[in-house]
Amino acid sequence: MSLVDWHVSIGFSPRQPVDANRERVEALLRGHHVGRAFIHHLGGLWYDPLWSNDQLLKTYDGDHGEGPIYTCVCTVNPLEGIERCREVLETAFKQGAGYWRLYPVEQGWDVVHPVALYLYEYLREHKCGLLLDSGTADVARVNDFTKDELPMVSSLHFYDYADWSIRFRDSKSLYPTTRLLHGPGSVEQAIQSFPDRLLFASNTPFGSIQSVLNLAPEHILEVDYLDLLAKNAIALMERVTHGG
Amino acid sequence: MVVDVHGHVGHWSFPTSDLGRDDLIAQMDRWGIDITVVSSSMAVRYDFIEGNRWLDNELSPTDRLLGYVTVNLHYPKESVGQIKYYGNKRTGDGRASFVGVKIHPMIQNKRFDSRAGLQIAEAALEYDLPILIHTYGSERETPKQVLPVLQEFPELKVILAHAGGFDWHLAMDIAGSGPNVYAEICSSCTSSDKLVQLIDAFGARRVLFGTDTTLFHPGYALGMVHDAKLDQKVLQLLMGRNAIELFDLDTHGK
Repeated sequence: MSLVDWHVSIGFSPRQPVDANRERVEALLRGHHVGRAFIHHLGGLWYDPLWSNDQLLKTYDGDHGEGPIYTCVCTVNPLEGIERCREVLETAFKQGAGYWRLYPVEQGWDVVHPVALYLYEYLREHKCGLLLDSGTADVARVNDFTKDELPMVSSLHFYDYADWSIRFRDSKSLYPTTRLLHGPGSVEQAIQSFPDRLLFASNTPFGSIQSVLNLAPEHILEVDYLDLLAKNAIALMERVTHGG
Repeated sequence: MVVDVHGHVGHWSFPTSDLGRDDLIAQMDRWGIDITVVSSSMAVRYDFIEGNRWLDNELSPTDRLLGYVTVNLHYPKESVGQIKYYGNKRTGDGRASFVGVKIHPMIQNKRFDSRAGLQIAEAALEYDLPILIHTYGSERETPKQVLPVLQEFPELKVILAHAGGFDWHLAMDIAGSGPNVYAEICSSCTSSDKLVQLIDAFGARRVLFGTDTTLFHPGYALGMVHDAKLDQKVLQLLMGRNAIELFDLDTHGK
């Protein structure tokens, strides 16, 4: 089974001199034989979600021939207010968007911002998937709010593993990724705790795909490891029915 | 003539009205502002090259708005290219539409007193474009970061946008560093004491009026000026004459 990468960005990087040009990123993915990439547009993080979602959905509308399948991850910013957020959601929904990434840390808002709560509920009701990176406690707050019913992909840090391995052990909707499990034995531990929910994410081009691939456990055959990650990805995708 | 030296056009991620060019000009009419020098919010917050290109289109139909070329300290080569391109650009009637350079060390997460900053400063000086640099109280935003650059390029004109914000003492500390450092007044701090002290430190000829429109309501900065109860001559310098001289607006760069 092929590799599914849950964190891929394209666009322009205003805060770090990283080339996130689409052609470059796609070449990186092809170079590592990524089979499916969950891709988002940096313009939504730093500038205008309505505009960037449209750009993204138009860019990846249809078959792109050889290379990964691209699944668009749209975004919305609670700081823009509820009316604007509603417009952003509904516009992207019409274009089939089912996956959404939110940026509380980068954009500077509390995960229980009232507009964010509205967004989580909206995504839960519409059977979407959420990608959200934040501290463990904040991710837990979101998961609690959504009653563990909104599939949520989150790159939790291995520093906090002692916390989140317990906190989310029995969760059915929190899907941790391998991206920040760069401590010795971290991925092995995560497989034990989350065998049916661990996912692969690289944060390309802000992170190296190979770096995360190199975290593969030594005691498992690589093919079995990739198989596990891919099966978990499929299981999550089957839960996200909005957008098809 | 009233000149607002610190404006923007484009989208903001707040539940505020997004004012387009024509809305901004209508607002200027309501508040008695003749000219606003603007950067593109897309250029400042995201893609500076695309943002500058977009702004160039927005500026062309009007002489009420002039532009800042926004640069990005992480991309010095491209930034210098942008300065050269827009520094040479003239409208059909021969005037310069881009009259300055905008830098935002906080949003870009990089300070001006860096190798990239020196490269950008050199290019701005070559085209005689004043630099409007965001300044506030944190280390990344401190006005003091302009000092090493001015040491290298003492002829460079630098405008301390927000004059350090709530920490205007940081701007005042460097007021004496040379005749080409200016303070611009807009920020969330509207204390008239700040304005009076800046004028005292920089002199009446080196303080500039700005509003931070379209992010801020222009009435906010105008209220600060109103409450400072300045002498008429000082007021005229602040509200327009200093900017006209600094940006060479009498000749519009012809």
